[in-house]
Amino acid sequence: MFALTLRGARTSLVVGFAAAAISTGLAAVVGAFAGYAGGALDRGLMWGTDVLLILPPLLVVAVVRPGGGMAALAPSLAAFMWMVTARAVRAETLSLRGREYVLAARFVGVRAPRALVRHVLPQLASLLAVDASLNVGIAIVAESGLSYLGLGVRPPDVSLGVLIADGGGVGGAFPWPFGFAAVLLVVIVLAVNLVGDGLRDVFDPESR
Amino acid sequence: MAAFLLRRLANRLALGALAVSLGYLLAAAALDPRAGYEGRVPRPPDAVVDARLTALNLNDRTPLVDRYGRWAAGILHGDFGRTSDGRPVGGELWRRLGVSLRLLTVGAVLGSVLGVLVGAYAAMRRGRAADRLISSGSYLLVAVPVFVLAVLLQIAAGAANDAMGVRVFQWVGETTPGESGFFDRVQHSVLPTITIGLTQFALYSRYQRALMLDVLHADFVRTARAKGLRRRSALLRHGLRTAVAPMAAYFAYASGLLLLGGVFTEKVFGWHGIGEWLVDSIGRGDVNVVAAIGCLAACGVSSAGLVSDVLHGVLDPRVRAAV
Amino acid sequence: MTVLRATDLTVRYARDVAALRGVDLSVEANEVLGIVGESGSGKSTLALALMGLLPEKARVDGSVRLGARELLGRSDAQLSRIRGREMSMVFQDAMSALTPVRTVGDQIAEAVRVHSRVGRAAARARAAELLGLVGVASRRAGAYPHELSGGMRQRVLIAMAIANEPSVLIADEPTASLDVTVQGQVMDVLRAVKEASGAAIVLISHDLGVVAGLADRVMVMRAGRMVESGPVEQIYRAPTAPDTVELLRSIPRLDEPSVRESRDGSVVLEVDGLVKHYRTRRRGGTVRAVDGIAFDVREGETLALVGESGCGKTTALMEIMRLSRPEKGRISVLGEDTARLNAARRRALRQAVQIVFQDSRSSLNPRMRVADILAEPLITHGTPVARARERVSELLESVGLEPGHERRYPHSLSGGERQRVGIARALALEPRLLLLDEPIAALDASSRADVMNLVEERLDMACLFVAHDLATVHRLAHRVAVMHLGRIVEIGPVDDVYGSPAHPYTRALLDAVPIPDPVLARRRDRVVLRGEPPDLMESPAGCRFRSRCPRYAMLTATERSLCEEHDPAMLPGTDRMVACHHPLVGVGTGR
Repeated sequence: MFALTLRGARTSLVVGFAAAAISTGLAAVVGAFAGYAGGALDRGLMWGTDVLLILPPLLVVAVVRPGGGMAALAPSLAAFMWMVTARAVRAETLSLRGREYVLAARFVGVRAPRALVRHVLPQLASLLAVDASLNVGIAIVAESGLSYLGLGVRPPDVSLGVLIADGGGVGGAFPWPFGFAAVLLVVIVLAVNLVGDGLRDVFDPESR
Repeated sequence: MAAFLLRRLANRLALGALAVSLGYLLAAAALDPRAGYEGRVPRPPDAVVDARLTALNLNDRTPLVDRYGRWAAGILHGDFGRTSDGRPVGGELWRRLGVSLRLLTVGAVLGSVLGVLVGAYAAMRRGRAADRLISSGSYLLVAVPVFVLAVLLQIAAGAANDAMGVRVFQWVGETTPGESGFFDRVQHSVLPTITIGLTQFALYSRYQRALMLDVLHADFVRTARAKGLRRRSALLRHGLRTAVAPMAAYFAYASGLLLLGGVFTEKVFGWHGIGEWLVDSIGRGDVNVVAAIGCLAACGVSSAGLVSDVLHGVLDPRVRAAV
Repeated sequence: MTVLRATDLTVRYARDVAALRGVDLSVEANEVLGIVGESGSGKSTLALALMGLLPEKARVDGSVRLGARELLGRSDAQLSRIRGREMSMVFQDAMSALTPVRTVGDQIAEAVRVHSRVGRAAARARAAELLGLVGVASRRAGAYPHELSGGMRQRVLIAMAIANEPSVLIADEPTASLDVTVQGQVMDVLRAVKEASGAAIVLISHDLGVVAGLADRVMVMRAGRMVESGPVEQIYRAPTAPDTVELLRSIPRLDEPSVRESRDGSVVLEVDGLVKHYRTRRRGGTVRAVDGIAFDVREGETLALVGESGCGKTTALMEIMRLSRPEKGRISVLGEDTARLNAARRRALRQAVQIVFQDSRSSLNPRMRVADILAEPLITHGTPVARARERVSELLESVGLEPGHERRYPHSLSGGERQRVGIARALALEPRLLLLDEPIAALDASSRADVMNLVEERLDMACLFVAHDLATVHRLAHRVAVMHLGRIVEIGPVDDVYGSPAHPYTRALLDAVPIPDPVLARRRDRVVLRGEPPDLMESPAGCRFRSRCPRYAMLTATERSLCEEHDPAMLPGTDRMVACHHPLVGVGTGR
């Protein structure tokens, strides 16, 4: 049973990290493009983002995911996680673009791509790192939630959600598989969240 | 303000219509209602299945655009189509909406109000024992998924029932079959309400604490104290009053999570609400139900967004000026 | 009679960090004590310590006596009965000192109701009356702080502080961040309060010029200690402490002669009919930030562009720096029309045009070392890395920084040092035209003088120097252009414009410059502008200045009709020009 729990945890972690990476990457690309380019591209991208924000996430994930398989689960989780970050990245890019030191660079003749790399991206990096680490927690919870509902990882694969679902129905006496899996899940999410908050404190200019 | 609201409303309506359509297209393209018929024993002939699916507007051999057209025309007349076993979606949808609202309302209101108050209190006691307890408690709560929390509560309630020798807490369904007293309903709704309430509480208290910390040393709180207000009343009348405004913007986000939490709570506690229906319908490939729920959720999220805009405008005059 | 007395007042935040070390002070009724010092000298800490409003972690020792009562060691509840009733405070930065989500009338009424049992309606009536006292129309009681201008917000704070007729009023930098013209108005309100109430006033400022007109006694602070104190004439006429001398020296004075001789070089920058409008979503209007301005700058010449905040001077600089086609009008740099530049030419021209920003904190990338910041322009324009490194050392030396500063990050430098880096960056490419956007406005008094000297030494190219007051640029500029509401209202050689201003606005700006001399400051006959700095969205027919114009108020009806119906034009021609129908002196505009 111990082995089973560990296997479940590994699945959850892999899916969680992959989903977080995909989601943050997508958010960075969409947000930075929209923010730096502005104009019609910006409006179009942000409209798309808003539409996706309105759709119920469960529907997106459950429906987009064709068949089983863990490979497809991570991208579909990411599909509903990236929108809020994308908006944050866009807002940050917009404000960075107007920052005086970015202006100063442009005024000495630095070309746009170099200005983006030297002056805008380093400031975005902290936001993205923090976001990615917090997304890992969200993705892990989302994955186990879906699996719990029978919409995520399906047997023979196991994840923490599957184990919790199998053990949770018993009720009354304390069911061991549920206990193990639940505690492990909470500990993982706590740990990931702590790392995220720690990163935020490190990057936050106020705390320096 | 009115013009601003109208503009936001129009924008949200357009976004909502787009989202709803996208929801239908996704569901119709990905789900497979045919499998449900073909899996029946004995297996009905293909022609019968086809005819049945066509009648329900579920046939995957009809072009997607045609199915969408028929569905959208129905929606515009308030007709949500039929479920895969032929019943109208509409009636069931409203019945289950009632169940879900009974489940969510009390918990959401209690959780958010208490969350705001306790979060503000924790910020005012920053670094003291009370703050540490509240902060770490809500930190832990945020990390505990809804379904784990619900099951934990069930286990705890079971232990409590055993200890008292009476079944004080009930956790299966909305009522005990055969009974319909008010007390019975309350017995059944305590645990789910606590579940919903705790998750909302954790979100709101953490966010409100952070907002309140920002104004703890704000200049205007100092001004209020210089007028002769005590620290606590200055913090409540000026600090909290200012710090609660951004909370309105957070409301839309938190209510999205509330709906999601509702799905799990219904599932765990066996309430026959919208969320449970959605999960079952996805499993069955019931396109029209999934699309109808998508529609309802989009409306819910959009109106939460609108409420959030209005609240923000009411609470913060600067927002009114900026638009 | 001494109303407030502090003895041996010491404030510590951590064990070894003392923000205030053994300060003594006393104020009598109907007396104004000025406290002057740079930021970080402990003057705000002193004010908060007197009020008992320091953060909880601060440790306060010594004694603060209000009348016969000791205030230190009292509980928050006890102090809250004294604060606002017997002793009150006017804070700096009124935008953040007022609660953003409550109306100003409500906030003033609250100050009344905290200390006396009066009904809501009575308190509201009192609030309206108080607003009238400080010169804000009482119908503005229903406004939120963000709907008022900076000067009005500061008046609201004063109204709140005098609501219960306190015997002690502490004003902490009440005019910082205000335009010079508004500064004068706010100081007048304080003067009126003093005369009407007989309160003891503690007036805190970083600027000796501001204090000179009102204070009876002055105390100069540095690093948490009092360095000098005495009657106001003595401090200004015969300062003994070096810090006082330094503070006095840093104030630009109009009574010193301008030392720069003008030169006649070739035209480097030519601006003609420049227009820049912004569309805003608020009220769907158009902000006419720059609305048709014309000037030129010659080789070796410094032109100062002066006006209140929001008059469009920074927008004009940014339009020039873009080096592209302006919305309307023409900009030409070194004889090249910016509208006709291709990308390569524009990049090449950027070497010749550089800018120094106002806020060195936001204009230096916080994640780059000083050496990289200075090398960026060089490397961008193809200087080999080894040569760039040498050049960075030269630059550091030329702006008076140590070689060790190369490896530092901007946040570890002081404001003055950062601004030197900003100047060094602008000089790196040896530009022929340098734009300076209020380079000293954000600096402390001591670094102001140093940076000004540095600028003065290095200004041998063509310069466009933007400032919000006339005093700063007096010593540097050859010519000055006064800007109001997106237009230039007067332009001419420094000595002519300062000596005999032709536009009533120029005259008012000159009169608003604080004079760091108590006798002259009290004796001079000033023209104070009535209204607020203009709203760029409104553009009434006729002269845009007339609602605030002191001269317009004295004209006959027939003379006025000219101002009301016709927008005064600046006629091209001679060296000295003015856009006014009724100038104070004839300048030969050919009208």
